[in-house]
Amino acid sequence: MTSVLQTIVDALSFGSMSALAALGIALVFGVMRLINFAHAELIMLGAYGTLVLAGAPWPIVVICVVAFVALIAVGMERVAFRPVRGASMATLLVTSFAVSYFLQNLVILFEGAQVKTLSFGVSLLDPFRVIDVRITWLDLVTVVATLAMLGAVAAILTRTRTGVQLRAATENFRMARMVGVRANRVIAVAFAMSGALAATVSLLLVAQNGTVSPAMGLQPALIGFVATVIGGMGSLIGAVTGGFALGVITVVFQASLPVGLTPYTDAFVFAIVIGFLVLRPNGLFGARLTEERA
Amino acid sequence: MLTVEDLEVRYGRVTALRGASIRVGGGEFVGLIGPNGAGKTTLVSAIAGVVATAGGTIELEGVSLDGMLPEKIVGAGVSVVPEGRQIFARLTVAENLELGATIRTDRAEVAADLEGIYQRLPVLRRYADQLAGKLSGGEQQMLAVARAMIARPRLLILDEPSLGLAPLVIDDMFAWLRELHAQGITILLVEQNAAKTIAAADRTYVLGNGRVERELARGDEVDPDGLVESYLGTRVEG
Amino acid sequence: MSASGETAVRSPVKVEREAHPLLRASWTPAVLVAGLLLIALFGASSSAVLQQVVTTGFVYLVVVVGLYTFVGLSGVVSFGHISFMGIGAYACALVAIPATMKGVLLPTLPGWLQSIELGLFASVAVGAVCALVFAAAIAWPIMRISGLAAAITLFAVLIVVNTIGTNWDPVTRGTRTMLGVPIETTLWVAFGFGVVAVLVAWVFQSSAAGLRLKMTREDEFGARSLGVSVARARIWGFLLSAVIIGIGGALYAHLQGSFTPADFYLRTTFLTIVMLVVGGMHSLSGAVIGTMVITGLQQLLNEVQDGISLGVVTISSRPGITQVALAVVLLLILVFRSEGITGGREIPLPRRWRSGNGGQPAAGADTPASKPPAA
Repeated sequence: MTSVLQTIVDALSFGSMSALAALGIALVFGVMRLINFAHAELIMLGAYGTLVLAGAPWPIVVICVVAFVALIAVGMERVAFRPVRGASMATLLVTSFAVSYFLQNLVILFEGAQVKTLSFGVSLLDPFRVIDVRITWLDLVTVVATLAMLGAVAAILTRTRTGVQLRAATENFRMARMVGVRANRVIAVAFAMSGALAATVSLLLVAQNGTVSPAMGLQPALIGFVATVIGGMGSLIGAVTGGFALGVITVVFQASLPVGLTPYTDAFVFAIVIGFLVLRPNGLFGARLTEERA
Repeated sequence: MLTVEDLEVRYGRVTALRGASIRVGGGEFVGLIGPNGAGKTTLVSAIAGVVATAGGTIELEGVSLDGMLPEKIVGAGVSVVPEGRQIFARLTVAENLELGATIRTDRAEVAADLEGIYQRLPVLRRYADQLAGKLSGGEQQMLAVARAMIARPRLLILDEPSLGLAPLVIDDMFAWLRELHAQGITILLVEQNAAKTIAAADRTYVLGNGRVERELARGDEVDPDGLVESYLGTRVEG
Repeated sequence: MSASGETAVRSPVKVEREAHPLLRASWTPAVLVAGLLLIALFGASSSAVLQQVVTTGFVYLVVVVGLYTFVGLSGVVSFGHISFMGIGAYACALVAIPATMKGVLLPTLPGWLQSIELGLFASVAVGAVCALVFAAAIAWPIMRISGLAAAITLFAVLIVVNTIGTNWDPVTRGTRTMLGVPIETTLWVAFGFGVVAVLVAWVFQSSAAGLRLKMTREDEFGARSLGVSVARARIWGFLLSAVIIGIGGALYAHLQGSFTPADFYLRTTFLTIVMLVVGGMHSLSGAVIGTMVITGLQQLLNEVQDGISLGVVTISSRPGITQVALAVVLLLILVFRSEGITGGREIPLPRRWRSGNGGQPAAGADTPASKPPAA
């Protein structure tokens, strides 16, 4: 019984992080129909940013890392994605892959490929026991931070003019421009929000693992990519739900597979995704299969 | 107010518009009719800035609109109600209207205009907080026009607003357009419904094969054979 | 002038000789093969280092041609195809490594597998078959979904296969090096396989199945309305590409002699994508040209990376420059000429040999460069 509760705690924690990753990716996808592979690198750069700032008081670290990653995200759009806006889906995909590869290897060039350790929020790892279940403060912070970020994004999207414009652009980019929505602005806002979400994931990951490496962003981001696809492209709620579900499923598999098979957790989760796509090729909340970007 | 001169638009190797020219004077109600594929929507898209032109000019009160971003063209005073209405179905009615005011900065005036719209179209007020996708076809059309009007445009362009609507609803809509015209709005109405358009508009262009083939005034006897020739491409014998 | 005073009328217009249909149909692959032959001869007469570079280039050519067979014709960007290369390599290794060595490296293999020792062609065939089996297992669900979803799913396939490869110690030795594969991929072996790959791809893209697949790339709805099953068309391309890439993987195994799962992961995925996109994703000529150009460029960059002295200036060694530079090259191409060097077109027949009325392009040309139809 306790191991079930333990799994639930772990699943909530990991599911939350996955949901954050998925939302960041889905926001950009919604407005540009672009799956940003470089979101993995945004997460990674946030972690390296934390490394650089190690020792500073944590509110400063948090603010700086969030701002840093948001800025990189907006810059990335301006330099690499704007020139190919409106290009074919294949070009967009390869471009985002190229940006991702570029950033990863840039970091390798300057920082080397080896794993580095750092301490951030170590005190959060102190566990306390509730009914024999081991919960750390970090687990609580993860869930709270996720809810806070989701709430903030929801508030921006529904209560601000820019947010409404972003939602309109996600639904029908061309029409949004025809009522006066400024394309560059909403896209920049989407990337900035996406960067902030990536930074949150960075901070949580760093607090949890205490390490950074150039390829660390791939695992959380991959869940985000898959979630955006199975959530029904363009649906933010679908992506968040999908991300959370995939995170939970991953933890459940990890906990219930026999020891010899735990390294293959990803394979099992992936098999489930494939099975899901066979039954519902349009994803959770339905998709508009072909979307032309204005 | 609006001068389109020798406009040429190509989609790949297909030429959709080959030298189309129209004029819309300030305060006029101008119609544009023609069969499917004649290039009506292409012309609207070119004016709105969402489609690139291969030749010719588009000028709004002397200012060239060529190469202007769509969002800037709205700011210059041109509001378009595109084909298929294209309201934001996943946003509420109120949010749709709010988006119409994107380019405006005078919040208080916008609120007043909004109130005016709600009074003229009470159904929109009733559904204000519901998803716009729940409205009927006719209601969505009214919402699309209202959304365009909230921008306080100098020129209102509508592309086939009567498509898919019941006759009574179409009458309502034409009535509203006449009201707006009476209030001084310049209107360019692109339609397939020839008779109603010719009757409502001051002047009507007939577009065929990518260029303007003739111009009719409201009082003009509608030449059925001529129209048939434009629409079907052949003269009807007998 | 004849003796009787009559003058024969000589036509003032030089009659254009129309090229033989067979020549028209095979011009592009003939030119490509000739070009590859030149490169092979260059390699054969160069230093050992350059020879190895050329040989490696030919092995990658097989992989990139295989990639083109699916990605280029279907328009679906696949980031997962290098998993076929890995499967081909490991399967080939398992049957080619000398039995005594296998006993040491992989002691837990079943007896029949331990004792097998196959030669070059047999082991390459085994690699191809294993890649094909794997591709067949995952093809149907993936080819049914939209292109974007398929691309992401195939990316996940790459990661999952890599995970399995790095953990399945009894068969792959996990992260440890698999070694002992006999080095049998010589320059001419690689060249031969490269030529065969190019020809097979050419035949496929000219065949009914290939044309159907191209149709789905150009206009998915149009193709469907003509009764073309998008999924089925894609599956054929997918399976063929898996076989070709599997062969490439096996050749790679016989070239390097040793490798790890990391050899078939992101770096190689990126490299082959660069090769295809820079050359031109939508044409076979693009796949070939891109591979050769990037192979050369990569060699150049590697020399810079290792630190060279250009007379007065000495550039010190900076590992990682090659990858960053290649990424920049890819980004530049995507921004400034996304259709690649060839622009999606095949190498055209020389104008003289086209049919009389003003330039009929060679069979297989993707977008004929002719005038727009009369308005």
